[in-house]
Amino acid sequence: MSNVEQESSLPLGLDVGTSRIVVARSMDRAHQSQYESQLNAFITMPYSKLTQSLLEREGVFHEVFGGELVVTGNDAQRFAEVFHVETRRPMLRGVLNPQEPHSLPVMRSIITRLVGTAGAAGRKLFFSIPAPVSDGDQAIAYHEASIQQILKPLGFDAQPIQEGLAVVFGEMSGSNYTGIGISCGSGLCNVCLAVLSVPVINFAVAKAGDFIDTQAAAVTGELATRMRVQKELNFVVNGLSGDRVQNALTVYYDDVIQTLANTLRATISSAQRLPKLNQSVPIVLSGGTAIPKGFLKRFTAALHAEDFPIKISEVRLAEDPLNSTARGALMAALC
Amino acid sequence: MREPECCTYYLHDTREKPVTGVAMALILWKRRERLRMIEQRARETADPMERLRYVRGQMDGMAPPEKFQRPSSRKLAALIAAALGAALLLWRIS
Ligand SMILES: Nc1ncnc2c1ncn2[C@@H]1O[C@H](COP(=O)(O)OP(=O)(O)OP(=O)(O)O)[C@@H](O)[C@H]1O
Ligand SMILES: [Mg+2]
Repeated sequence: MSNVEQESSLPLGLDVGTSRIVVARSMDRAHQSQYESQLNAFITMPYSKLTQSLLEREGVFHEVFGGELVVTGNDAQRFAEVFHVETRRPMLRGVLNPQEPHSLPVMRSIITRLVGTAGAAGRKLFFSIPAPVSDGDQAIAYHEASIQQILKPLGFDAQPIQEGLAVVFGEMSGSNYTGIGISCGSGLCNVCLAVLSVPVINFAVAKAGDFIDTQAAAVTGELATRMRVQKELNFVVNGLSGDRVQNALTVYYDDVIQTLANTLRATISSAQRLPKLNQSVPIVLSGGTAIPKGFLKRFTAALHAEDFPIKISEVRLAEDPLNSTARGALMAALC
Repeated sequence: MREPECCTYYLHDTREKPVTGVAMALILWKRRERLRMIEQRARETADPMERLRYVRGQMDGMAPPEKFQRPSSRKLAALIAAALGAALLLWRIS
């Protein structure tokens, strides 16, 4: 088999996130992984020959749906700025957005661009799915089936993996895949307690990056996109300051952290059939929302480890928080 | 991937509460011993991918019985009686 052929038959990991879709490829059997991502967003413009030729000239990936030109992925962000329009999102709180008629074709376009066709039929791929939130039906089954529908025709043998479990696979070899994996993303914080790679508790909290952006925008009268840019640029979770936007971000970051810590404590306390854990277990935080300085410290304080229902050995940040889920999904596919 | 319910069967000591009798205690002990073995072997596997493969393989291989049943006390009594009889016989012969 040639190198190219071999590469196009190796398994893939796919993180289908509310704001970013990431593919993890293993470059060889020696576990070098490579990541590629696209924003899970799009913009639409009324169809005109002129706009289309402009997009073609600029080498921008676009498609025509109905009477509209649709630009998807990273280019959508770029062009939203040029044309002064807001980007739209195919997913909301971890699953396909039911209010968005373009959601499925847009995701098909982005996913296809990232993974290509299988090359060899039945090529293995694991994709992330969210965990259920306590207060409501997120239609996870429909979401999962829709992603399958995109991947099957491309020739993949696709299987779902819960996002929290993927974090455990990606980050917890040191504890034999026992511990609590948390992904603080944009739509949700996904949590999984696994023992020896077996998921025991799996849930999600519906407050994450998007919640911070929209709430901070509402109280400052700014646009959510601007809040997001500010947050990603240089935000530090370290109490209130003189700046209005920073204060709003701090308040809602705190809300996310407290809700996550409290829900984790309550869920573990009320679990009926918890395995007997002889050793203390680690917690790993990943996802874009966990990146800002001060997040780890604040979360650790909110956890009150000294009287937590199970013994915690350490709380740490993932090495590569934006790619942990895709990495774990790839590891599942390589098993 | 096997359904989590399936594998967690072996992680829970409390599923068949109340735990009574020597036979049940033995079953639980064996189960814990098996998990300890998996832990230890996994720790000896340095490569993360190999380690995951091993741990998942072991956990997936632990399919629970169709319906969990304790050995009946009558069966157990018969077993003990047979063992005693054999020991007695051996003692007589020697
Ligand atoms: N440097 C940063 N500082 C603060 N927030 C960040 C940073 N980078 C990314 N984010 C935020 O992280 C979120 C995206 O993270 P991630 O890619 O893990 O989410 P996702 O997987 O797309 O979403 P989900 O898992 O909820 O479906 C967004 O809300 C984004 O604003
Ligand atoms: Mg995510």
